[in-house]
Amino acid sequence: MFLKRQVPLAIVFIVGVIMLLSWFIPHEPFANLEIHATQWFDIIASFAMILGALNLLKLQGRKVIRRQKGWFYSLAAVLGFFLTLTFGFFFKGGYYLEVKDVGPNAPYFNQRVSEVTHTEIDAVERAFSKIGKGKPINCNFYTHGGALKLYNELSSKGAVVEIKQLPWGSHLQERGTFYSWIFYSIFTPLTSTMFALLAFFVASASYRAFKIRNLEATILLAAGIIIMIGRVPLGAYLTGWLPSWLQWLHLPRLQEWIYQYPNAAGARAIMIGIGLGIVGTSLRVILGIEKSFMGEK
Amino acid sequence: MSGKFNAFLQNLDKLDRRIIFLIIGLAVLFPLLVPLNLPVEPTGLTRDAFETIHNLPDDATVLISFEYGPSTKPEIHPMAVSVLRHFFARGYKVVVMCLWPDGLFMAREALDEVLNDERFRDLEYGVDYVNLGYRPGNEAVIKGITKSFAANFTVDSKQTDISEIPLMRDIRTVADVDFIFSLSAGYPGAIEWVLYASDPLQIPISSGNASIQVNQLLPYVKSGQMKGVVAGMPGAAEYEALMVEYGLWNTRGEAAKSMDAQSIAHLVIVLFIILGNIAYYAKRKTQKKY
Amino acid sequence: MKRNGFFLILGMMIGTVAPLLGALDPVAVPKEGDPEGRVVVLNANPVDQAFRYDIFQKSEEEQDWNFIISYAHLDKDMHFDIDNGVPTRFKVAAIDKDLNVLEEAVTEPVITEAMWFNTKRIVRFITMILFSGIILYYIRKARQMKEIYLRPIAGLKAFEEAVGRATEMGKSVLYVPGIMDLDQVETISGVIILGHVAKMTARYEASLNVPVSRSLVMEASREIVHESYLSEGRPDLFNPDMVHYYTDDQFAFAAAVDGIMLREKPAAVFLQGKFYAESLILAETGNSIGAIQIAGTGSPSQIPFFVTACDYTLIGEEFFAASAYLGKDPKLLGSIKGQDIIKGAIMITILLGVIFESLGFTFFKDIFNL
Repeated sequence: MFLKRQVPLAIVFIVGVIMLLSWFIPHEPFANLEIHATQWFDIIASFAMILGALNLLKLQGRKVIRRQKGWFYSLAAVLGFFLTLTFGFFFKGGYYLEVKDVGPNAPYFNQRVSEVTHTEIDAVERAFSKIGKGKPINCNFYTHGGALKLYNELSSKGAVVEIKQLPWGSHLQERGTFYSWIFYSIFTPLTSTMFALLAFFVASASYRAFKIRNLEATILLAAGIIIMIGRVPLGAYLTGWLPSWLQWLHLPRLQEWIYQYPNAAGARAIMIGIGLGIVGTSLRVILGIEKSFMGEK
Repeated sequence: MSGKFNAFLQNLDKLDRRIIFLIIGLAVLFPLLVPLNLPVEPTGLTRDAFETIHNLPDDATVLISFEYGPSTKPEIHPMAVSVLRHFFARGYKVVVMCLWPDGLFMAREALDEVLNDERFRDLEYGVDYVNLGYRPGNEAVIKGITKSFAANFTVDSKQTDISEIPLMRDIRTVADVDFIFSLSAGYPGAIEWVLYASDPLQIPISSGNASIQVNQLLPYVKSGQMKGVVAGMPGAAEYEALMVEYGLWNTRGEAAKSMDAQSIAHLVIVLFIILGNIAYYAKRKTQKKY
Repeated sequence: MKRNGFFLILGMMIGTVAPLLGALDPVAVPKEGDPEGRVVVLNANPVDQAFRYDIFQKSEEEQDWNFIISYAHLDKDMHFDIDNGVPTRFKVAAIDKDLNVLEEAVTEPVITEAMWFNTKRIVRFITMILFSGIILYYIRKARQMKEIYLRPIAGLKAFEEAVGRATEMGKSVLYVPGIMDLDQVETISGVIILGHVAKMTARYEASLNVPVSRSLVMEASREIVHESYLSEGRPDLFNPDMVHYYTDDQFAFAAAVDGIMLREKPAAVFLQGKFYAESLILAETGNSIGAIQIAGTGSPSQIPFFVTACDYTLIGEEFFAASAYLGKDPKLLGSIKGQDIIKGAIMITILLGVIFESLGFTFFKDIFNL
């Protein structure tokens, strides 16, 4: 009971007070406490990810094995997990050629490199005019075989090239690796699609919710329409003809005023309330008044 | 007839959301296929950000941080490309870093796109620009680079030791850069840069954000802690227009093209709202009657 | 003759010593008034025909000088960073156009030290003590007060109604405690409210589904739900798999939760925590399945979306006050009262600030710049 109740409360109190005071004490050892604490949290959260991953595999795997309703979605989740793990840690791809010498047939070399890198021939010529110890060709291949094909083509014309592989780490973001293929071909379209759903949901939510029920709703509606039209080029187009003495009705100007004054004022007021709420909650947690987050009454 | 019309209006209140989705989809698709070329008028917030960047000293070193991913790419990527193009056109030295893991990919794509320009083909990696890559730790990374870049970024994104990068020899901490630009879609983002780097060290900062976040940044803009904000896709289109206005670019950018679609979509939403209110009043009238 | 010899020797001595005394004469002192220390102010005199000045730095323990920067001319009060508590010297070298060193000079060792209290934050410190004091005072006073009045909040009253509806319909309750980790106060609030909701689901025997986006949140939520079920005397209804992890990614998590909503069609959906752009996706999907939705968040930009799409929304402070409302603990209620008093004080301060600024008196604003 002591370990489950008093010890966690003591830890929260001591650490909370120290972190609070460290913001006012620039002297060591308090100076860098905030950075260290944030890094400790990141390390703990990173290791805790293993728990989440195991939980995901357990529940989704169970659905697949028992062929429960929607098991094929779970299969996609499990396969995606292992595929990404494999390409992140085991099969990286990312083979490239490092050029030591262009060789006697420079025009052929430039032409071929220009084709694989999709750059102009004179740019290739400029780039490989000074090679030094070795200059990589800016084109990565998923497989050794793919790189070998280009290697053979260039070597047969006298170029001195070597096949290398991207180091661990940069294989996560360089093109021509399996991991980046997953990112650009699968992850990017999926997340963009999810975000794009917002456009449709905004329309349906607006249709349903923006009704002139009372004065406040009317003001909200009017402001919303002014901002929606004023924020896009259509607003400037529709009111661009207004004479100078009516420029204050120019929709982009009107929307900017609404955005920067009434809207910012309202946002600030809510942020002050939220800030106070955070202070109150944090104080309650540090002082042990609020214990339910630990599972205590 | 009027009875049927009333009934029709009342039924509009229960319009299937799939019809709304379909109409919105068509409204967005049409201008992408048939461009309207609506003129883009830069607003004060974007102009402030642009002019702050434009008026930096000729030998300025700028830091640009990528904190967005594929989901917000349509909004933020066009401004990332425009801002990078602006930096290189002005001859500034550029340090790129990422606080989001996805930002790494976005940075790489933006750099590839901008450096494909003939004007920038002679720029040398490590001398004119560098990509330090991603580091985990959120605001701890920002706090860390206020003390030492090398301690937080021992190698760059190509795994080259930072001490071997000529550009980084003069940049020991973030105080050595002249300007910070944060491309952010959430946390960590522009607010963390203001709180932990820009404000304490008095480094001018501006940011490019998703439209929805601008509300949270306006207090910082109003207080002078931030020099303007490039807000969402409209902001990106405005920045592109300013690039053309200042003679730094010569074609209509991606964001400006997308603004045609956004204009029509907004118009359609407004029409839906009006329609919804007509249906609402028709229903109320009938209910009052009975 | 003797006098000429004397002046000759004197001139030679001056000629020899003068370069040692040096035109540069660099001086490095710690910057005054900097709470974090670490900053040194370096001054040096310019040298004739110098083309540039190279500045080096090394600590007493180091052997080699570290090049810092070159300047075309020497500014007054050049600032450099060093480590606190480490004696450090600076060397200034004047270089001519042919890259010859005209003159070099080294400063005395300089040590910087951080303050034990950041005087620039004194106003914030006093404010923190004051605010904390007010909240603590009302927490203590709450025990003596008969009843603390809190204005009714429709969203909080609807909690029990929502769980009851789910029980009647024989459907589940879906609870999403946000998408951020436990280092965010909103997530802690969301998890606390989950405990109260779990007690209701235990009491009414409704099934509870808690998808989470972070592993630490999963563990904390599981613990809270378990304790809630135990406290209601229904440990038999608790299943650890009620709380399950999907993914850290924002939109992948939104897709997963949408999938749960569309397949299982919960009767009540609680969205309580920190949300970002996925908030409307979740809320609209919940609306489309006809569930009663109660949202609460500390993200100001997401509040409008929840207000539009959900049946009830806890706005800003209401979300953080929810645990006090639901638990009815006098100490928690007292802290809410303390927060309200502070809010009143802030409103008065803002009003005074606006009046003074409008009248041209800046002293009031300057107090808060300290």
